[in-house]
Amino acid sequence: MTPPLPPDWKCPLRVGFLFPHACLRTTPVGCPDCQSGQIADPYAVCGRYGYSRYDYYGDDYFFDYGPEYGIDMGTPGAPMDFTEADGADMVQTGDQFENDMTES
Amino acid sequence: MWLIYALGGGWGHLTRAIALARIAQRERPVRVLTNSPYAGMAAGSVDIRAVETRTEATRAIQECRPACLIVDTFPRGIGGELAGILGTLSARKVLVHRDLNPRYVAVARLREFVAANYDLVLAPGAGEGSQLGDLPAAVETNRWLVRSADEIPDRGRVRESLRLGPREDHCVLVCCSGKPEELEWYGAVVGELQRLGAAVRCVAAVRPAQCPEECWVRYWPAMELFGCASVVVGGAGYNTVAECLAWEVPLVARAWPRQYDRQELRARNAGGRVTLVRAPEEAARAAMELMRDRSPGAPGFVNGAVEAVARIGC
Amino acid sequence: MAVDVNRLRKECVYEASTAIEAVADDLAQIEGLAAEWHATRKRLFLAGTIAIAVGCIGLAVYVPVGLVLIAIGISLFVWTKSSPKAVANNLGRCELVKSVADMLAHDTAPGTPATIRLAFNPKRDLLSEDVLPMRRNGKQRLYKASWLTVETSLCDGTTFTQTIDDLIRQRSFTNPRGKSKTKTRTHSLLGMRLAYPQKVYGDVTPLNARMQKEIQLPAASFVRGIEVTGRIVKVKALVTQYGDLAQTSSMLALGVYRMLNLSRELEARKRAQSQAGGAQ
Repeated sequence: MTPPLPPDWKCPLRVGFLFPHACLRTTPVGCPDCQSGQIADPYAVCGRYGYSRYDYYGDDYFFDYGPEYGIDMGTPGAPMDFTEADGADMVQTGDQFENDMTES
Repeated sequence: MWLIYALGGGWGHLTRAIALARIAQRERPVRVLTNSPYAGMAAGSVDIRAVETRTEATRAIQECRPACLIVDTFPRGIGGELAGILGTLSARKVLVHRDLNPRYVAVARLREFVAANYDLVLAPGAGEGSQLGDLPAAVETNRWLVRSADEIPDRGRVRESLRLGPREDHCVLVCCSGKPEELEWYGAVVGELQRLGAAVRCVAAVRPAQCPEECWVRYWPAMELFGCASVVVGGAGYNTVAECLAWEVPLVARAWPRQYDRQELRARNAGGRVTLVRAPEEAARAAMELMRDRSPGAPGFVNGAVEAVARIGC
Repeated sequence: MAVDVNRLRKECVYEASTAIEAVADDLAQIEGLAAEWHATRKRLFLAGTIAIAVGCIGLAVYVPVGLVLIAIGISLFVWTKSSPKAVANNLGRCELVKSVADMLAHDTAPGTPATIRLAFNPKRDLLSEDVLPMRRNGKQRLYKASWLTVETSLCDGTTFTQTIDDLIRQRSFTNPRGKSKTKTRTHSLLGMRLAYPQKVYGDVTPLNARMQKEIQLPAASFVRGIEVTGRIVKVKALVTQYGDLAQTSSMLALGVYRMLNLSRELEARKRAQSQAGGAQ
């Protein structure tokens, strides 16, 4: 049996479409974002058309603006995932060219 | 016949094509293909055919069977439509190599394509041909201008066209080009200049909303009026920059974002003669600082389009 | 009720400042009114037709009655004008506004008002008129028609404003058979302005170039301009397929916010760095 929520409870989960913010609902029952508590991170799973991994930024995003903003790469075992930002530079599809006859 | 493929938005491709066509048609028929919305205003004595779609463009080329096909800026056509037909044409093929986004050059493998399909690459001015200007078929000319120095109307006619008062020798000339939605910016510049007390005229196909009727001048080509301009405010597209450099009139330029053109680079490469701005207030202040008296003598610039016609030959 | 029915009927404009959650109800009401007016127009048109037909027959039998019936028929036709077609013809705009409101509702505090102006038959401003070369009597006119403004405050302190203007190109000419032809093409210019709080996001200006690369749009929509200052982000997109408007609106906002969110993260790291430096 689920224990009752404290009287001043506010939902701490992240919700939102454009940017994350706290849900602050007083009960998860009937919540369309977390489906009554079924979804652990409603903000992350929200559908956003072609923006997969909307919430994720590779290291290059931070190093562009100063290496001091990056993660500490000296730590052994630091993750070295390729991101879609890397992929976009490696795979030059050029889909955006030769589409618009009014460009210049 | 020479056929000039000049598809692309705004004024730039069309103006450059007309600059070439006017010289070339003294000795052979020339036709220009365009999808510019301003074709009606600029046509004059040049044979202009309006096309809208890729299919219409390729059909017009195949029906014309030109002796020479001159393609402005986009080696594969602005929609990629020329890639399939260039190999089938027996015409001499010439590329007018205006500046191009290097990412497009890389992604579309334009170096190999141009080397394989074009007989001549003309860079219309220093700095324009940085991407393909080292190809064996490439030649650089002076900037192409839609009027040669001896075609500029006399000062009296220019003053009349600008509706300058008896005590006004010069004015700030705001030259609108580019996209319709950019007109608002130019209108705001006119408003700011008026607020600062400048004599200002706005040359535009359509009057910007903030431009009073008495300041608006509907005239083409604007470069005929530069003799009475103390400073020009405009975009940093090819023609505006080339015309201001030719006239040696200071240019206050807004570099507009374009998919293929690098306006900011062009403006920076022009040295101190082009001042880059963003906000209308900034443009107006820069114009007030740069205003200078101009000598009333006849202009002496060289029109690279004449050399270009000679280079193309045939 | 937020819908000013008289203004909607006379000017074909819906203008309201209402809680964003209530926008859908207003739009549903407009859709209902449009259906009602459509039914009324049909009934009046049918009645008018019958009255005129019977009146014409009546003229042969008894002229005054025939004339009265014809006059009634004409009045009924005139009366159909009081139920404007423009709303029903542009009901897709209601769907679009609902979609925008739904998107915004995720990131606004409950009860936050949104100001909406939706025009179903907006005035067309002539932008240019030119001769159409190579066509007999060819003329080309470019118009602008502004039909949507939406503004609201998001819960991060940003003021969000969206506008849609239609750019209409009308070409008229006489074809080789002597008939007058008119061809119209419409594209929409979607503008977005976000006045963001610097204390949350810092100065986003350094991310301008990145933002241009990050924004993704449907294939037939194109970014037309991006302007970033220390307080405002302005973006514009050209939408060539009407059906893509809602998706373009969402994708444009997402592209901008992906960079705003990055800026917020950078600011947070900057603050953490300076606090760590101060502690040392």
